[in-house]
Amino acid sequence: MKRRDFLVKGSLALAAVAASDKWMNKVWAGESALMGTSLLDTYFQVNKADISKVLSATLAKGAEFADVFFEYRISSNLSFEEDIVKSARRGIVQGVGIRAVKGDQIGFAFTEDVSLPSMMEAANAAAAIASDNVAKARVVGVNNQKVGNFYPIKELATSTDLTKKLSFIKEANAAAKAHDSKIVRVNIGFNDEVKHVAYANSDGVYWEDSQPLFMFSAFCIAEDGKLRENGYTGGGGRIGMEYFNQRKAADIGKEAARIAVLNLGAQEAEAGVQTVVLGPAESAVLLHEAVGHGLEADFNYKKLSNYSGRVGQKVASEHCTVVDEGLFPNMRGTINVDDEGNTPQSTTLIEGGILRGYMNDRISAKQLGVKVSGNGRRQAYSHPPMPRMTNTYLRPGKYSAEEILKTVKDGVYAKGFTGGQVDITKGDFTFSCSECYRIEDGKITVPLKGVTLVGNGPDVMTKVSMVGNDLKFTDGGWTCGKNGQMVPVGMGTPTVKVSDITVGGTKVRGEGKA
Amino acid sequence: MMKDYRNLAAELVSELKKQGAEAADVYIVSTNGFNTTVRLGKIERLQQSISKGLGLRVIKNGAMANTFTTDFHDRAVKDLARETMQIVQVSNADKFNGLAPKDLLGSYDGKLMLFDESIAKLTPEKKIEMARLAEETGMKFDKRIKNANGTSWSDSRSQVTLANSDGFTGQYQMTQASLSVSLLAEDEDGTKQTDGHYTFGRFLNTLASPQAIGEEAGRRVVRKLGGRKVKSAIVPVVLDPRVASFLLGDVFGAASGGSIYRRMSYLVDKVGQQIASPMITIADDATMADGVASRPFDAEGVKSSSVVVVEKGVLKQYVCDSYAARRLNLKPTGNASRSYQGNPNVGSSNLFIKNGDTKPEDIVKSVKNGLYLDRVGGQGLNSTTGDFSMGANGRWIENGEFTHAVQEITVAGNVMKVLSNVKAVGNDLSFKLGTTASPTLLIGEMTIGGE
Repeated sequence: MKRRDFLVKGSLALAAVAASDKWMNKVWAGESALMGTSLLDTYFQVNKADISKVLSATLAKGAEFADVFFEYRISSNLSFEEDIVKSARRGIVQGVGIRAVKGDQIGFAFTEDVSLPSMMEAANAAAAIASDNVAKARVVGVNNQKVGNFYPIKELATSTDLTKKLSFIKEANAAAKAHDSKIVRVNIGFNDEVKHVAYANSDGVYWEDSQPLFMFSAFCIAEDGKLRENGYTGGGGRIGMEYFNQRKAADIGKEAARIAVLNLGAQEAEAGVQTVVLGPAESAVLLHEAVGHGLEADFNYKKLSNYSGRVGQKVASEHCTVVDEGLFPNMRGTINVDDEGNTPQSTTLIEGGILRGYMNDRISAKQLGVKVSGNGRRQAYSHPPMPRMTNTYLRPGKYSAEEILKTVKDGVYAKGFTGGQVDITKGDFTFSCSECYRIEDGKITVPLKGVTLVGNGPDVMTKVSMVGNDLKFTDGGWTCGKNGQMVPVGMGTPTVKVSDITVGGTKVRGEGKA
Repeated sequence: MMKDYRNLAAELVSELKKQGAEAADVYIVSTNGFNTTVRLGKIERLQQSISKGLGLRVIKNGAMANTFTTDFHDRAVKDLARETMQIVQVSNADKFNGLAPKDLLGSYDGKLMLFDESIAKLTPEKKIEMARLAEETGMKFDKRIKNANGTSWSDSRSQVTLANSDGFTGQYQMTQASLSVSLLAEDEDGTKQTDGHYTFGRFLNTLASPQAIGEEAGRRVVRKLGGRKVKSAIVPVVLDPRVASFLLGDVFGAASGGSIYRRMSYLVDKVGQQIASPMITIADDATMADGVASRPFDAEGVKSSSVVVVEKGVLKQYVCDSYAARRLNLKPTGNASRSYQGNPNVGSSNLFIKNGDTKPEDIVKSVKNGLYLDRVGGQGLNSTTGDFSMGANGRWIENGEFTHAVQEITVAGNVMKVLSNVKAVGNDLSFKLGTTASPTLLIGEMTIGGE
């Protein structure tokens, strides 16, 4: 099982949905402080004295640090197919993860049974990573830490009436069907969740956060004679029902239909090295794969990444400034606080082509002797945190998209993507287009069948020859996988020209069989 | 021993019936897991878990809804049952909703090797020792191996419980263990490569030894050194079993009833037709005695069986859960799979391409100028059309001999065309790397994108 880090688009990582009276009455983290109640009381029926006991037990065998992560996730899912609600689903997952840290060693245990005896059993299991048998156990205080509010919500989708949600679904469904008579199938998905988290660690820190996640998606099949193609799009973020004020449900349906119909007319691409212009927003998959994962600090203190030990060196063309920032309001990769209590920041990874630093968590920051960047994230209570991206983007340059396209006589314009993958050791990455075109004499012409672009991260970044002035962020939908853990991420990029990159096609340029 | 949940499941089914469900089922999964990672001889992680989840599914007035929870307390579960009956009001009637046909329900009564007591008896110290031994053997394989991503041992005991309103109640327990090694090697010029190897199974004595896994991981990472691009070309390609089984997984998806009635498949209207070379036979067998995906019944309670999907290149049938079967007017094939969080869906068990009679080394020897494909990567496979374009790495073959490692290239084509163009099938089928397995395959030609 090789270490591969990847990105996928779609609702793979999400699960279920909806609201009941009981859930609607439950409180939001921000409000709960005002009301004098806490998520801990509301969802876990655990008190702070119990948490102290659990943390002390976790430290009992000599660990230097311990933390405990409570999660109560309510999720809702509506799946609409063939003009009806095919499935309505909702669920509650609650659990607690307990971690003991000694140097860069981790003892970890989790359970869904949030009772003191079960937590103590888990604490003892986690504590076993240390074996000093020196009684370092101490009573741990838990003081409230204030966290920011980067996901203000007007109307939480998970508490919204299902019939109201259904009206948006029907709107998208009708728009997709009306787009073209070639559309033979439309699936609409409405996935949302709210994850209530309570966290305490042996530094005496305690915080709570309620993390909403929203995704609305459309999938279409278009048929023309024997040809059959699909189109997919979706959007969302850490946002509520007000999402539909910025992007209409009908537009999402129409967009999926447009891509499906477009791909019916797509031509076979030529295989080989070509000049590629990457469109704004989704092309940030390139950043995510080519540099993002390689700059996660765990890979670097272990010297596993091709960027290990290269801070201060030139690793990209001078046009590239890459930033990871978890603070953009309502974005999918945004966090009020990372999953071990650190405040997320705006971290400049590459500045004018020079490597400035890595994204780290508590353990890797200590190993590298640098300040924590607040990138310690985890999929759930059932996984320990590790360095992860939040919202990663390339700062804009000076060219308009038109100026960039004009410089290309013959090449590929890539606009939409299904995902990407990277081998962080060598830096070889792959990313797969769902919408791309040929460029002929500076103009976007015929659509090409979904192609894959491959390259070597450090190499490709030196070949970024022009950066546009049209920075755009993706509209939700992206989920990043690393070591078996999935987390929602955001990303952005302006139009970018890469002077050469290998394109995977079925035709070979200028020759027949080898 | 794990807690018996049959009564809880059956009681919940009656509760749902009492509250007005026409049909209902309850699916419970519980897992006790252990995992440790060793890196450069040091323990990096020790992990232990006790995990469980419960899913309810109801059908009322032809509409379906489902809910799930990890809280098994009486009140929480009763609340959930009530809420399920509320949500089903929002869902729409679909005449194809329902449980599996009564006459197909039951447990396979042949021998299945599901539970190995000896895994439960292993101490954490022994597991750590195995991981250390595997890594150490790998690191010693070649002096250019200088670093490691980590070696992990994992094992679990899990239990599946299912009850439905047609009177079916079933439960089974199973064990699983795996060991995986991942290493780094470095060229003279400092270029690093990573690769590894693993083993997994239900029974301890079916796993490859730690030394064998370490050594194979070493062999794999070293042979990637010196990897380079090749010129774009259309050439014969040998598919390593891992790549062949990746394509096999897609064929299964395309043959799934769910993809067929949705018309999201390149196998729509193809039953009875030649879709692959006559050398290709594909089967899915949930009753293999030592199969890691074997089980007495599927996620709807349908008795396990063996299903031939493609015989000598001809598509014989679609694989179905009960919903897809009703949509297509077919019989369920015992291929329902689900997690406690969702509805049943079509899934494979032990899925394989039948062995051929050529030794894999003879397949390589038969290639004059071509590519041995070790890995493909990325999300560039369109399951509606079968068109793919993926990142790849492997080894170049000249006059039947490996010459150098190949990296940073793409392979592109169409799954159906590839299957029809199979020129040789290896005799090396093994389930040691996954429950979807294939022997080595030789493909007449594929397009490689490189320089």
